Amino acid sequence: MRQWLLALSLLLSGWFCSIAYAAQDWQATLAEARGQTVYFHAWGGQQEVNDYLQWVAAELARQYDIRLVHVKVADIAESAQRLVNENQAEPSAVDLLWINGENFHFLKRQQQLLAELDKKVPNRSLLAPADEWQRDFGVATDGYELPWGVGQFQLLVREQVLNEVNVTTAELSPQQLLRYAKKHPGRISYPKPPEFHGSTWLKNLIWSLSAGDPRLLEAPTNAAEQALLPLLWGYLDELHPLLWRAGEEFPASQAQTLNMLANQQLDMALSFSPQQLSQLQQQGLMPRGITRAYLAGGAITNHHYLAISRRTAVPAAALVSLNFLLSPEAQQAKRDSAWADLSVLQQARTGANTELFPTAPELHVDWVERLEQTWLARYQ
Amino acid sequence: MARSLPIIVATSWVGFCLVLPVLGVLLLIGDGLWRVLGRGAELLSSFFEVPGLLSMVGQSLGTALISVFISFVLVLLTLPHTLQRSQSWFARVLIGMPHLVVAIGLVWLLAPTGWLWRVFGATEPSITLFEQQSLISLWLVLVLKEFPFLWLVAGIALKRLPVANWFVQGRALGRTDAQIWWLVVVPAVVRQLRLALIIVAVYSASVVDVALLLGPQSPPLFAVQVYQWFMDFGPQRADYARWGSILLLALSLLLVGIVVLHERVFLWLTARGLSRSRVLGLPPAWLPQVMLTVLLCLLVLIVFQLLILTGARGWFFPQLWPASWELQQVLQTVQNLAPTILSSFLLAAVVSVLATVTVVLLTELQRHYQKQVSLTLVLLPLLLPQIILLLGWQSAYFLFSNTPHWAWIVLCHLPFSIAYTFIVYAPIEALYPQRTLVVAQSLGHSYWQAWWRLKARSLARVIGFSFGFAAVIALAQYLPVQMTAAGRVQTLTTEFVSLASGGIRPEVVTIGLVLTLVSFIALSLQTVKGDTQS
Repeated sequence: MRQWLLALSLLLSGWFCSIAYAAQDWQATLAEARGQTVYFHAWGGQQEVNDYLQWVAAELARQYDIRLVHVKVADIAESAQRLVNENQAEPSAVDLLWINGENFHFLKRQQQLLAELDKKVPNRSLLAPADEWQRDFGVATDGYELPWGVGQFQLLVREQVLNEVNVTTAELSPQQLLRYAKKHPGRISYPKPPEFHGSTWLKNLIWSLSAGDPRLLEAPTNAAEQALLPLLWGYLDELHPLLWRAGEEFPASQAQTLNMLANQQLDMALSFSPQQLSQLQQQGLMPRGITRAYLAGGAITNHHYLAISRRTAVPAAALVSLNFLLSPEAQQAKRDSAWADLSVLQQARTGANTELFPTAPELHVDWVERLEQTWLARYQ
Repeated sequence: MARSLPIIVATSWVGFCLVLPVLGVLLLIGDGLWRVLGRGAELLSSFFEVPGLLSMVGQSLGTALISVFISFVLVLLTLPHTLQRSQSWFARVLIGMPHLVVAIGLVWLLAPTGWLWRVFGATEPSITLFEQQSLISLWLVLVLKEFPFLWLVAGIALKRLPVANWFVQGRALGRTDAQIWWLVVVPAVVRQLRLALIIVAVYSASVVDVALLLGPQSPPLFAVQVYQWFMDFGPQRADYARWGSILLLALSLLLVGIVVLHERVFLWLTARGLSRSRVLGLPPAWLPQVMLTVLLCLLVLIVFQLLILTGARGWFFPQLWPASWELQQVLQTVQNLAPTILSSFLLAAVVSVLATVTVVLLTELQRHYQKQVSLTLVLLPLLLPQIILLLGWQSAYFLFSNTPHWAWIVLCHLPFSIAYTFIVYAPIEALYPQRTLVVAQSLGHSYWQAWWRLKARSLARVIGFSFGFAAVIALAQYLPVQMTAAGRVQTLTTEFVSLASGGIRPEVVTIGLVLTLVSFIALSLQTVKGDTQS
C-alpha cells in the first residue's frame, strides 16, 4: 500500500512539476517575445477579417509588446511558394500563416512548418475535441497546425427556389435543384473548378448523390471511381445545359456569383461561411429574400488553421500570437466582430454555433484532384 | 564624353540593370527549369494534352492582336487632333487608372444588370455584348486602356517631328495634304510607335487580373492558366507552369514579329495606295472629335459609377440609385491607407528617378559608344512572364538573405520601369539633333553641362512624362512587391489586389480610386514641369 502511495505521490509531484515547468517555460516564451515583430501571412480579400486582425494587432501590442504585421495576400499559395523557395539555412521572412487544405499538405510535405504546436501552445487545451479538427482535408494535422475557425459549405438561394420545389427545411436535394433549373433555365451556376467553392460544390454534390458513400473518405480506388463518378457526371450532364449561359461558361469566382445573385442574374450562389449572408445583408450588399440552404446529406464542414514557419526568426512571438488568437478573448471577439467567424473553443460550443447545418465530412484530398481534372477534361 | 571614371560607373550601372532580367532567367534555369526541360518528351506530351490548350493560346493571341490593331487604328484616326495638350488630361486619367478599376467600372455600367440599362428602365437583366466571361468585354477594356497610352506616345512623337516643315516642303512639291500626311507624317509616327505597340501586344497576351474578371473561363486565357499552375500544388503543376512560361515567351516573340511585320505591311500599303490611286484622304475632321467625346463620356461615367460604389449601400438591380450611403467607411478606408500611400509614393519616386536616370544614361552611352543595345535585351522584362523573372531574382537574393532589404525591392521593380521608360523616351531622344551638344562643347561647356542646358530643356516634356510613367508602372506592380517584400513594404497595389481577390466591395473601389488619383498626380507632374519650361 505504502509503495502504491509512494508511486502515486511521485506521479503527482511529477505532474505538478511538469505543469510548473511548462508555466515557467511559457513565461520565458512571453519574455522572449517582447519587442518582436511577427509577419502574419493571411488572405486579405475580406475587409471584416482585415479589421479583426487590426484589433488583434492592437491587443498583442498592448498585452504582449508584440508587433503583428498582417501581410495581405491575394492567395496564400504565394506565401507557401515563398517558404519553399527560400534559403533553407536562413530564417524565413514568413512567421505565421493562415492556411488549410492543399496549402497545408504541401507545406507539411515540404517540412516547412513548426512541429508540436499542440504541445507548445497553452490554449490548445481549450480547443474543441481533437477528432473534430485533427484531419485537414483527410490529412492528419499532427501538431503542425491548430484550428482557428470553422467553415461550412452553403448554398445561398432566393427564397422562391425552396418554395417552388416545396422544400420546407433548408435541405435541398440535387434532384430538387435540377427540377428548379428545368423550370428556370439560366438562373443557376457555380464558380469554375478548381476555384475553391466550385470544387467544394463538386465534392458536396457527389457526397449527396452517393448518399454519403464512405469510400469518398478514403483515397480513391478504381472500383470506387467507377461506381461513384458516373453519379456526378450523369447529374452534371443533365444540369449543365440548364445553367447560366447553358453551362458553356462559368463565373470566375464566388464573389462574382454573389454579385450576380444580388443583382437578380442568378438565383443561387455558394458560400463557405455560415455568417456571410447575414453580414452582407447588414452591410447593404445583399438584398433580403435570400436564404441559406445545404445539399441533402449534409454540408461539408471544415476548419481553417494557423501554422508557424519552421524557420521563423521569432518563434516565441509567433507562439504567443497564435496562443492569443486561440484565447477565449480573441475567439469571442472574432465571433462578435463583423467577420463573425465561429469559435473553435470547447466552452463556446454549447448553443453558440447554431448556424451550422448538419455536417458532412471533407472528402479525401485525392478525390479533389480526380474531380477537378475530370471536370476540366469533360467540360472545359 | 571623355573616357573617365563616370563613364565606367555609368556603363557598369546600365549594364547591370540590363543584365538583371537575363540573370533572372539564368538563375531560374539553374534553379530547376533544366530539370523540367530534361524530362523531355513524356512531360511535354502530357502538357500538350491539357484540355483546351489550343483554345487558350488562340484566345491570348487573338486578344493581343485585336487590342493592338484596334488601338492602332483609333490612334491613326485621332492623330491630327492630338496636338491640343488640354485634351490629354483624360488620357492621363485612363493611363493612371489600373486595368482592374476600369473593368470594375465597366461591369457596373454595361453588364446585363448595369447602370446604363437601369437608366433606360430595364427590369430584367439585359442582353448585351458586354458581360463577364466574354472576350469582347476583355477587348473593350484593353483597347480603352491601351489606346490612350499609344495616343500619348504618338502625340509626344508628333510634337517632336518637323511636321510643319514637311507640309511646307510637300506643298511646294505639289503634293496634297493627304499625301503628305500618309506618305511622310504617318510613317514617321508609326515608326515611333513600334515599341509601344510591341508592349501593348505582349501585355495583352500576358495580362492576368482583368482576364480573370472579364475574360472567358472555359477555357481561360493562357496567361491566366499559367498563373493558376504556378499557384497550384497538384501533381505536375510546377512543370506545367514552367512549360507554360516558355510557351508564353514564344507567344511574346511571335507577337513582336507580327507587330514589326504589320508596320512594314502598313507602310508599304499606305505608300502603294497613294501612288497608284488617290483613295486615301485625311480622316474626316469630325471623327476624332466624336471618338474623343465618346471616350470622355465613358470615362466620366466610369468614374461616376466608381464614386457611387465607394459609399453605396442597398444598390441592387433594377434600382437606379442606392437605398442608403455609408460615407464613414470611405473616410475610414482612406485614413487607414495613409501610411500605404506614403510608402507607395516613396517606392515609386525612388524607382522612377533611377529608371529615368538609367534610360537617359543608356541613350547617351549608346551615342558615346556608337552602338545600339539589343532591343530584346531592354524589353526582356516585358516579354517574359513576370513570375519567371521574379522567381529567378528570388533565388538570387535568397542566397544572401530571406529577409528583404529596401534595395532588393527597388531593384526588382527597376527593369519593368526601365523598359517602359525606354519605350517612351528612346524614340523621341533619337530625333534630337546631337550636334548642338558638340557646338556647346566647342564653346567651352562640358558634355553634361551642355546636356543639361540644351538637351534636357528641349526634352523636358518627354523626360517628365517618362518619369511619371515609370512611377505609374512602379505603383502598379503587385508580384514584385509581394514576392520580394514579404510584407516589409505594402503598397496601394498590394492592398488593392489582395482585397479585390475577395470581390468588388466598396473598400476595393475606394482603394482603386485612390490608386488612380496617385497615378494621375505622378503623370501630371510632367505637365507642370512642361508648362514651366515653356
